[in-house]
Amino acid sequence: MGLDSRHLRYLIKTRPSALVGAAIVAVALVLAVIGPTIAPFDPRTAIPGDQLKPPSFGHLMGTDDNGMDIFSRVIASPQTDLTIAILGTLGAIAAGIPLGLIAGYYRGFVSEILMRVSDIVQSFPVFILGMALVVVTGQEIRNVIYVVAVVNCPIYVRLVRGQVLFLRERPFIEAARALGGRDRWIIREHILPNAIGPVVANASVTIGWAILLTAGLSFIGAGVRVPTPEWGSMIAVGAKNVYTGEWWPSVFPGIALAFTVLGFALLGETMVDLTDRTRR
Amino acid sequence: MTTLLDVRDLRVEFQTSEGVGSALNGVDLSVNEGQVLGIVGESGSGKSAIAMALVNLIARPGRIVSGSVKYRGRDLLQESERALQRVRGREIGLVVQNAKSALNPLVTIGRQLVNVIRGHGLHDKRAATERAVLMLKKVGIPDPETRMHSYPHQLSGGMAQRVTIAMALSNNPRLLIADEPTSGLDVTIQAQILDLIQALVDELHSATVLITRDLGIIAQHCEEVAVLYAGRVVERAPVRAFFRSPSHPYSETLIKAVSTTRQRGRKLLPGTSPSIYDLPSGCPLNPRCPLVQPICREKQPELRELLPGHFVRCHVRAAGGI
Repeated sequence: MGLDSRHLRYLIKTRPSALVGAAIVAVALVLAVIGPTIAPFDPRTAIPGDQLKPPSFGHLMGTDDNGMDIFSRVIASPQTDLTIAILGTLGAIAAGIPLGLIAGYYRGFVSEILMRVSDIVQSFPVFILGMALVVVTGQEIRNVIYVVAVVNCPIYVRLVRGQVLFLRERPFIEAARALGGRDRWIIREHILPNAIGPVVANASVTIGWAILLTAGLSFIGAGVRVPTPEWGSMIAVGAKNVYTGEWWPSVFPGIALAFTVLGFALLGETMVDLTDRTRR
Repeated sequence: MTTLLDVRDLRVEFQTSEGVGSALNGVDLSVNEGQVLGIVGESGSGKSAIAMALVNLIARPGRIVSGSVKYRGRDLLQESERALQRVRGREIGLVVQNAKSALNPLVTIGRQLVNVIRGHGLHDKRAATERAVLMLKKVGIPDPETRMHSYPHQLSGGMAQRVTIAMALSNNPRLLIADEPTSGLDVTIQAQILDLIQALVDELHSATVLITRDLGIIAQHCEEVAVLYAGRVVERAPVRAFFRSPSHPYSETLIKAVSTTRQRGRKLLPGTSPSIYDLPSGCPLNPRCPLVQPICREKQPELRELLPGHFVRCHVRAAGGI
């Protein structure tokens, strides 16, 4: 899968939505690293006397009813949201790949157990399950990461298992076995590298959903809490002001959240498309 | 000459939604040290099932039902998976059809070759790499050092097949099984590949089982031939005797189909070979056979020795008829 510059240009031309997605993701990633440092105000402290100020040159997006600068908090939030979403997704992948390999390669009892557990996890609405898990484990960022990992893990178990089932019938796997390859060796050398493409592609989609889950949990108070900058909790804090016409504390983080999720989804969709064997 | 491989009553079934299909129905074969045995048959006759069954690698939904595959006295169907792994690739090399798909697309051919060598005893990486280069040179790949870094998609079909041959022969196996090694290649390349296999097995004194659908290949490269029809060996004979006087009616038409293509009166068997899910009772050829007798519809013929070394599975011919 060589990706030279010509190929890249062709992709951009034929899939403009991917380019938009990639741009948004790039901005979000940059902000995740430097957001808190370039914020004009400290995103964690309230400015006394500046409660609920409308957007102005001093406060580009206004302030919330605690007196915290919305703009500073909006650009500092990716550090929280993306860290949780990315670590959670990595956790889901790290657990999903070996489980998927096992479920796909050794069919039978173990595989059945794994798939049924995946069914159970996936049969819960993601949000309800996430809420319950956070409540049970305690409301800490670490636990939100675990929750993101757990609810997304079945996706990767299934995905990798599907790849293995497809790959294990391929002639080169048969040939490797005919030349005396051991199971573990074949999995590591032949199956894993060929199964990894779709996993990477799906990671972007999962990260998008994970951001939404993180924000959602925080919105209902089961995730990240004030004063940590986080879009979901910012929307929650501002929600009560929307009724009285002070829209800015909720709307700006909402827009940021929507765009970020959209960006990951657009990028992810294209990547899934490109690695999907059935559509090539 | 000692017997290297002795196959008795090998039966393989496939259990699918269509029912139970009998791919192999009691195959008997034997290969002597250094001998080249050709197995010829049309699609669906069980050719590939034989190749995989010989190394006990029938994949689900297939299953080896019964029989024995004695390799130097050990029954490979009774050995543990671990013991089999030491036999496959070291004692018995397998070349599969369609080489390009038999190579991992994401791994360089050098690495794949080195892996096979290191998996079977030569653990030292540098020594294994040297051996890999040597093998590539032996199979006629130009500039092998550079080619080691190539990926399968960068090779032509013929080159890829040479690589798989190098892999199969890299540990000097005593037995090489080549399952249609030239299907999908140009005719000129086919000849090159077959000559190459012949030269290499001569050099290594390996015995060979050459599975093909092409009688020309049998005539040119094999010493003995086994004709497969509906999962059974219907005739086994030294190659010269086979072409001079084929005894089974199926073999006869098979040979005639090749040698008389320009004649107008060419006679082919009516119909097609039976589905493995629905084999006729008695001799599986009976619905198509020109010599058919009542007994053919009732009873399976046994493999009978007509002349020394010349076996045929036919009621009519075994009785000396027509």
